[in-house]
Amino acid sequence: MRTERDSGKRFFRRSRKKNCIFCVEKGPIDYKDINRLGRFISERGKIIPKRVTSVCAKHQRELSIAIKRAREIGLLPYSLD
Amino acid sequence: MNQYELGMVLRSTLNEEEVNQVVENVKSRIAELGGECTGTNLWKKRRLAYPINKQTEGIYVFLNFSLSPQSVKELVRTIQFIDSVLRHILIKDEKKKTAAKEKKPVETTEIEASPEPQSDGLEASDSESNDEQTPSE
Repeated sequence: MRTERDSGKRFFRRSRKKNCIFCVEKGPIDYKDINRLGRFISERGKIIPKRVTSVCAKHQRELSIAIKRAREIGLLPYSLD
Repeated sequence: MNQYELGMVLRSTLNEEEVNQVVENVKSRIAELGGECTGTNLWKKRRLAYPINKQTEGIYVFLNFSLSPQSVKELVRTIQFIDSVLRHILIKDEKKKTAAKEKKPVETTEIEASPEPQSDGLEASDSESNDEQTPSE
């Protein structure tokens, strides 16, 4: 409906390129790999949502577990200021 | 027997000998409980992301081993009593867990057609991983 509203202009939903890093690299996400995990936490130490990082749902779940494990043993911070 | 990975954060004040002593201590305990140690991974002194017990640095040690689930509690208890261990984490090893899982359900749940599901299960897991692969590329 929305797409045909203004003067014949059509908006096609572009199929977004799937670019989950973990899908490409395969293998389980390791909680010890801080360099890799560090890219997925914000300046505040929060886990960045998958809509920003374009990680797929499956790997976001795995990733969040890995980050939380890393936090537990002091590899990653719970919070930063 | 399950595959486990044990991560320990040791006090940074320990010297090399003392670190080795702690590691050997844990290893011997694993052996006592009927486990088998398959690998150790010793990291350099690292800055902790946040202070733990007023310590800002720690030495990380990771041990891979197989152990029966019943004796894991025993092992954890002994680790908790070691003063130089600031934190520890014990998790099941993912890669080896899946390999062990494929065998087990077939034996227990589906006894009637035991040889077939085994191969099916393997194929299914393979195709799953392929499915993940293809859309991403």
